[in-house]
Amino acid sequence: MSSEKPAYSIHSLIHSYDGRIVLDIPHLDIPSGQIHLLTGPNGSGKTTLLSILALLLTPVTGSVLLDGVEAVGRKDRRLRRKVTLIHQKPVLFSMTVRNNIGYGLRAAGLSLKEIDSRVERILEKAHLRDIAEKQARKLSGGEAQRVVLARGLIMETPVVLLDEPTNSLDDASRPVLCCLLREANLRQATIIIATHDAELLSSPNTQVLKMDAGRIIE
Amino acid sequence: MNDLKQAFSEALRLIFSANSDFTTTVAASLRFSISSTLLASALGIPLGIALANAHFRFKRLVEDVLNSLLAVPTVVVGLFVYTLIFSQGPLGRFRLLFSPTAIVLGQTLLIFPLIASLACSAVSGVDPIVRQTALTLGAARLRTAWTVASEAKAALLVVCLTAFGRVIGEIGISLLLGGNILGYTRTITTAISLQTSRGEFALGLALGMVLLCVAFGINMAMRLLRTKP
Repeated sequence: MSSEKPAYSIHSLIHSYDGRIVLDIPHLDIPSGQIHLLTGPNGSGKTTLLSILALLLTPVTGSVLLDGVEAVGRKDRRLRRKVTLIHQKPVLFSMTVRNNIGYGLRAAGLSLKEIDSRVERILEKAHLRDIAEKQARKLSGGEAQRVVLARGLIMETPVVLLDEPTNSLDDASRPVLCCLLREANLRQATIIIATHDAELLSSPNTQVLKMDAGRIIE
Repeated sequence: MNDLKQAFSEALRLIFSANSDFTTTVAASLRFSISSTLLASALGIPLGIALANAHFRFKRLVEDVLNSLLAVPTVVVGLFVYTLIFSQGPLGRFRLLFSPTAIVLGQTLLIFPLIASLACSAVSGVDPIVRQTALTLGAARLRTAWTVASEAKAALLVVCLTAFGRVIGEIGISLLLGGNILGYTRTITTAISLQTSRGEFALGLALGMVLLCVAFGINMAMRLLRTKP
């Protein structure tokens, strides 16, 4: 299933806050096209690693190759558009659900027709059609999390990063999340999920990376 | 006591009879204040948004300069503009002194740093995840800045109302640059000052009531905007 080139290749990665090392990864290759569960206790460095992989945070030292291209310190949109990060906290923009979901596609300059058709498709899959015209700020926690997932996954980026996606999810929304992620995986997307839930998306195609005190321990 | 009662009843009569001196003065004040607030907002809000989104070496210094300018008395701003536009000043040939344009110019200068500084604070107060989310969704810098600013819409409107409250109640600029000409550059505050010095309290009180109503309206609007989800 996985292709030759890893999605990420990390070398000598160190990051610290106020002199305290929070991430120390000598070497790690993350194969593409697979689902990776990043597990570990709170404060083990999962969110920091995701922020670096999403090109939002520049590490103190080290190299991160994204699809073979050095990503550290790079801010160009073309590279950034290869990755989607879905935050733990479901932050929605002050607009309708439909407009929230189409935000990234509009930013990418897609035609209105293409945006409409893709938004309609994901509204259906994420069971959001009934609330498509609702103001996003008026949604329940579970609905908001589904919108955030739909908004991220609609981008169909080669890499999808999720930070504790099940935290704000109600029981009814969990199968929706799994279905959307499996579909993303079917189109060969690399999915990295920081989670406490080791059972999430367990399949032969799922790799588990255990973290502790900023290191990959397994 | 009787004089005060009489002045109040006369003030109310002036308000409800729509006395022409009263209405022209109120209209001029509102016109100048709205114009300067719009102009300063058009300049100050983009600067505030840009400042909130920018990361450069002297950012803190620029913020400190803007904050320091908030404390400049209105009469000093008036004096500064006066030196620019009086007949021998660098802009003297435009004959702006004692005109509505001069007042609007001075008031704009007065509230521009206020708006820029408060807009910067308002936008900086938006959850940083909003910016990160916009970036991870592939938004360019301008779209990201716009998205972040949109999240601070209510706060930015409060900034405009605060600035309007500051200019409608100022006197130094209106007096120095406008010259207090009836029906032309006379504002609520300069009229109150003049009427009081003449010992005629009724019109001054009537205008003072308008200022109080404006202040009350601004506070109500700000409360509504703040409580809006």
